[in-house]
Amino acid sequence: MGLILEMEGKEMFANYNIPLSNSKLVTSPDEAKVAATELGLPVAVKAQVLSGGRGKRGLIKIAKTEDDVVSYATEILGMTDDKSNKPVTHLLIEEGADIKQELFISMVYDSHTLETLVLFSTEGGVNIEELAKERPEAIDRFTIGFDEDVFGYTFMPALSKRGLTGKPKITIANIIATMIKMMRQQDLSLCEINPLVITNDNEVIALDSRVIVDDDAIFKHKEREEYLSEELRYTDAERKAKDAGLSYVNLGGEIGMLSVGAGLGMATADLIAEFGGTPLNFLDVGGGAGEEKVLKALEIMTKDHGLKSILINAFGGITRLDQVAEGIISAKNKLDLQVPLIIRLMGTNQKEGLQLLEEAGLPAFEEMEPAIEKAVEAAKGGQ
Amino acid sequence: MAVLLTKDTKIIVQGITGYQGLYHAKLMQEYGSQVVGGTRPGKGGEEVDGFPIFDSVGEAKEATGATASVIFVPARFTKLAAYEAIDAGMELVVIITEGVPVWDTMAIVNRANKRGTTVIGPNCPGLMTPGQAKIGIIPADIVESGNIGVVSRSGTLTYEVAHQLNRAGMGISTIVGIGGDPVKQTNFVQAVKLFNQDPETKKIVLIGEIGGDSEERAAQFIKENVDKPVVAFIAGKTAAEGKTMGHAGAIVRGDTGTAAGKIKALREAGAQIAEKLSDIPKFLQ
Repeated sequence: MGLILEMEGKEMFANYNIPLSNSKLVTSPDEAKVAATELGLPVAVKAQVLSGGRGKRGLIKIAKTEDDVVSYATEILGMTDDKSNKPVTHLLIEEGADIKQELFISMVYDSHTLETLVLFSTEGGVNIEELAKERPEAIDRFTIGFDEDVFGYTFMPALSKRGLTGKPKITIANIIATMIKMMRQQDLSLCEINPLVITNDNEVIALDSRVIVDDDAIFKHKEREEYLSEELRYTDAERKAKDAGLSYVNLGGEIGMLSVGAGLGMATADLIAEFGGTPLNFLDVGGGAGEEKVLKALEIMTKDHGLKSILINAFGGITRLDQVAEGIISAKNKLDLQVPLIIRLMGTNQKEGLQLLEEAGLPAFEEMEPAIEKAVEAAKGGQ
Repeated sequence: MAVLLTKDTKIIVQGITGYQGLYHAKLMQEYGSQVVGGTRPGKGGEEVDGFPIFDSVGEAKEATGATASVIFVPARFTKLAAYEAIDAGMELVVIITEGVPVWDTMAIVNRANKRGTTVIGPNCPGLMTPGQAKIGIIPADIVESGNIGVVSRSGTLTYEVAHQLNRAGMGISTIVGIGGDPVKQTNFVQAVKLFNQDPETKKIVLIGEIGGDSEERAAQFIKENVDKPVVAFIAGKTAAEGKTMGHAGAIVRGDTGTAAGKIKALREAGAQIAEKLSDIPKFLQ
């Protein structure tokens, strides 16, 4: 599951004829100036980053003059997105809108009932979570069944009750129905517009997009392989891991952790904390991992910062532990391991695995708790 | 007795000519499961390692009387494979495949709900009734038959728990590996309900993890319906918020889905909470 950038979400909106402002994507202050001239001032200068709250953090600015455009573009392109820790490289220069009213539409699926839950408010542009807490009556909720066909008319009575009339009402009702279709056709887990605005000319415009796509559905939506958000979503270590078919999350601690299986990895991280240590990472090589994958995993981990000890916790189900052992041994031979290596092997081909390790001079545990305790001690400097 | 699966369950393997499909068909058979054949469109009438191959699940069912199917086909074909099993009238469909798009899973669950089919998975290790049969990829030699029902979202954690129970001399009635994806038909509530009704199951072990609200829902169900002792373990207490820890379902969003919230709900429902995996056997004595 991954959030995509505003511009990527808007590209999807455009394909579904959801009305947008004119905008141009740029990567330099000069391009920003040209874009602003073409679009006409004022314009919004918007950083294309994955984290929210851009306005508050100076990542969106309204420019009234060409000089403003250049200075804001220069400033924002010099910033780092604190969430992804990567420099801002792309700006969306967007035509200013003459806003009469701001609205909010957001939808998710319910994993138990399979329904799509739609939230709508005529008080958009604000923090909707706060609004939901303080004045829940300001939000309309619609529940759409998995097989239910919806059309614009489904939502019109509710929109009328909120004081919407004429062309904006019809357009907005159709946008809600379209977004539900997008959820289903585009494999989305979140589709949100905040704010959706009505201008003084009674035009309806989606000023922002917040869309979460399903990474597992990428085979149906090939264009997403090229998305910039794919690049921004991961740290370098996480990216390398993903390319190697591994799951890696930096947790900021000291103990490099390699597990076979995600659940076991989480339980291992919990025990590290319980014994007073801190995990550097979560790294799952997955069921059925062979020698190559284990080697690659250790290579990625040893290049991450802060590593003080390495803990390998493998319970072999489909995974054969002799192959895990071979991966560990080739890591020991090929990588410059500067920190203590603590291994726990249990399960399929355990005997063969343990023997291989012993021959290579690498002791291993059979139970997980003593191994984890040892890794915590080792990280603290005791051997 | 056990839940969902016994030595008499006739099983077909969808994707039996694939590497994983064939490998596990053999392991299931060795364990004692009645694997009566498999499907692979275009290879109907042939055999692979003694297993008859059929073009479709419908034909396999007609020829063998199979009531359960296990799916090993790649993620992009899983929706259709599951539809086929559901439409053919299989009672139990176990989906091992990882990486199935969520909206595909929702479509599968929706169809299964209408036909009354039980679906386990996707992204799950399957089921095992020790001493009788297994359907899926749970390793054979980890556990003895007994009266503890185990339900879990994680494969490897299930193996670890089974190992801990085995070490303590305890046995299992059935392992239900419900899988790590956010959408599934058979969730903790459904599995706990089956164990609660099963006379052979005396105690229940629930292995949860962060993300979603399935454990909280199970807690509510346990509180209202279950008198058998329940021991729960929740993985992911130290998880980073908003980051996926290997399972799409394990995403901590705001206050819901945290380990602390799940533990609190289960404790209030009367379940014993094992802080460490190795504590589980002691609560079952």
